[in-house]
Amino acid sequence: MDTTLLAEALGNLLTPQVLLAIVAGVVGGILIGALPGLSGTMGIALLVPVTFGMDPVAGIAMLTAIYAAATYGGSISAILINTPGTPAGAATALDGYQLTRQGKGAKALGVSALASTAGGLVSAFALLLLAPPLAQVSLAFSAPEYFLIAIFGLLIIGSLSAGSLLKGFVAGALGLLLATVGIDILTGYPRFTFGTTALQSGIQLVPALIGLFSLSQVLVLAEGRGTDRTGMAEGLRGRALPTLAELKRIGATILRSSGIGVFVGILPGAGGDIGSWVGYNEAKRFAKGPEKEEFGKGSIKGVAAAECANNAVTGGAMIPLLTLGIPGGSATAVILGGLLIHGLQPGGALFAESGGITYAIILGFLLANILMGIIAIAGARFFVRATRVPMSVLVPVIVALCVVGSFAVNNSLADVWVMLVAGAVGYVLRKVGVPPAPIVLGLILGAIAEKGLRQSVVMAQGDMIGYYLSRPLSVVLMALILLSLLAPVLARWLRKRIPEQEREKAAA
Amino acid sequence: MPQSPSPSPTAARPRRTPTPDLILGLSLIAVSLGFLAYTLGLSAQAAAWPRGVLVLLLVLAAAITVRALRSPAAPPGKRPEPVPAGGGESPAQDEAPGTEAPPADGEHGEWSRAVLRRPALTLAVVVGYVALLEIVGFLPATVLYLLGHLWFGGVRDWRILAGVVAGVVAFIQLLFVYQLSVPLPTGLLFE
Repeated sequence: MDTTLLAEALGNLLTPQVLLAIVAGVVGGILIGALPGLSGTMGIALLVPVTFGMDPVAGIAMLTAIYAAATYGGSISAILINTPGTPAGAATALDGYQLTRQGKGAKALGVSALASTAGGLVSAFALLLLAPPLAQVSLAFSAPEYFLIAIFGLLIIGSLSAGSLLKGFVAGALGLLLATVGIDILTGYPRFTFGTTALQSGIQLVPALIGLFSLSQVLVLAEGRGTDRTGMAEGLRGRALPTLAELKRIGATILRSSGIGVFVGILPGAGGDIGSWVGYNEAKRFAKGPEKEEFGKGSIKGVAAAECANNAVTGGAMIPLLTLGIPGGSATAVILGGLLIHGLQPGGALFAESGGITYAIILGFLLANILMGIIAIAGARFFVRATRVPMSVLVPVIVALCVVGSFAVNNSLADVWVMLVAGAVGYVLRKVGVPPAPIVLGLILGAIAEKGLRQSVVMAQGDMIGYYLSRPLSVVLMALILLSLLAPVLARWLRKRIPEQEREKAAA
Repeated sequence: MPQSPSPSPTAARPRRTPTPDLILGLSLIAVSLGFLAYTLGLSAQAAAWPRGVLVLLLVLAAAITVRALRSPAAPPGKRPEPVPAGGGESPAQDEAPGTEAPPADGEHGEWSRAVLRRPALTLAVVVGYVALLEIVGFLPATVLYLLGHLWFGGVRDWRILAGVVAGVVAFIQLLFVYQLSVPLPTGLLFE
């Protein structure tokens, strides 16, 4: 990044609107993460319409700030009441809750905040350094490559979601099907519009996102299997900031976990939950003597390892998102939706043509991580108190925001109905184990895949296989697709290490 | 996980009860066939890609159906797949043993009426809200909806009711109406 670009990016970043958006994102993200049952993805989906009217830097920086802060926020309830606010916080609960029982809840939160900040910062730097060269590759993409990259993205996200492989692919195929609704741009034929004019322009992404991630989550919450959160305030005792000696003890762990987190984040599909477990396990493996014994019984190293790794995943996950347009998980899929409504198409152009915006977003992410650490420690008591808001109050508020948000993007009531249907269908699909993230990705990538394939059919002039094989980048991508078929095996192997830990936790 | 296998009344049900997976597979087959029939009316060029996607969906649906049929003895507890995490999705309270999560018995199984009743009611309330806002406009409908849903959720304290309504309305007005100039629907009655 040259100095003029840096100056432009800083100029874009350091405006009151952007800074306010980042602070709001951090505070909101921590709250959403801390509330068991609300996920960062849900919050990001709800706020995508709000960012629509904002300047792109402010809007996207806010979404990424929520992503980072919610990942940290998940540790608050994990530590204080042994209930991870997000799946990525599950490993943190192991040692964090033990610390709370020993009257060191505040210390655990402090360590978690510091480790999260450190992991997030490392990942933001990794994003800053690794994304631009990778994005160069996509400048050489043409129709065949766009088709292949869309297939690659779908295969990856379908295969790596936690449930069954088949259902992940079903979700991806459903998304592709939804993407075909509307007037076919090449022939002008309306497809699957069932005679309505509302569907002619297709299924809009933002209402679908809000329905699938926010409304369906509301319906899950309505089942009323919420958690009793009253114990949280009592858990917050003791001194929050770690001593110098403690910092020295966790330094190496934080470094290791940052690296692990960034790496896991770059692997598309492997999210914060995998990152935190791998980080935790490695920290335990590296510990010696009495320190090793301490794991599971209230080790600050355990808290630091898990929390640092899951926040390091966030920046890592944004690398494939910004360079190739492949989101690794549901949160990044929603952020992709946010980028698209601002007309920011991931890839080389994002860094070459709109570099001033893109670098400002990345630097904003860096800043969000610093602010997250400060706000988390300074506002711990506030966040803990805020989590006492009962679900019976939150649910109607979230629904009203779902409705106004899905209306606001196109000022269309039809979009509100799309959101409702997506929410109801998404709820049922979640219950049968079909994940929502691949549906959204299919909806986003469907049009790209179809256009790429149809254009390359024309370009190939009859010899499709020969044409694809004649393009080096296509060959690389096809090899990656083959490799990605192996990815489920890897993910399963990584995930297999989780239940063992869960059992330990249950026994503890 | 609440749906972990446990001796439960539902497990004793006759085996023919279709599993959720079987229903999923069959519905997906129906959806794919229905959409495939629809593509018959399209030009070959416009239909080619959707047909490809639908055939893929059909194959996947058939695989799910076959798998569901092959494990017919599966009691409800046999569905071990949790709501997929997908990088931050599943309601995390499921993952905390030792908290107050109720034991998973048949009464509280994933598909029992007791569990589905409240989401269904919630959905009905929300559908009513959206239908109402088409008629009376956004703000009156939202106020009525919030009061209704809060009441239905057991909130009786008038300070909370008033505070939530005022807060949400103010937030929407400030952000969407003034900041983003969204023309919120005024309803058929007042147009």
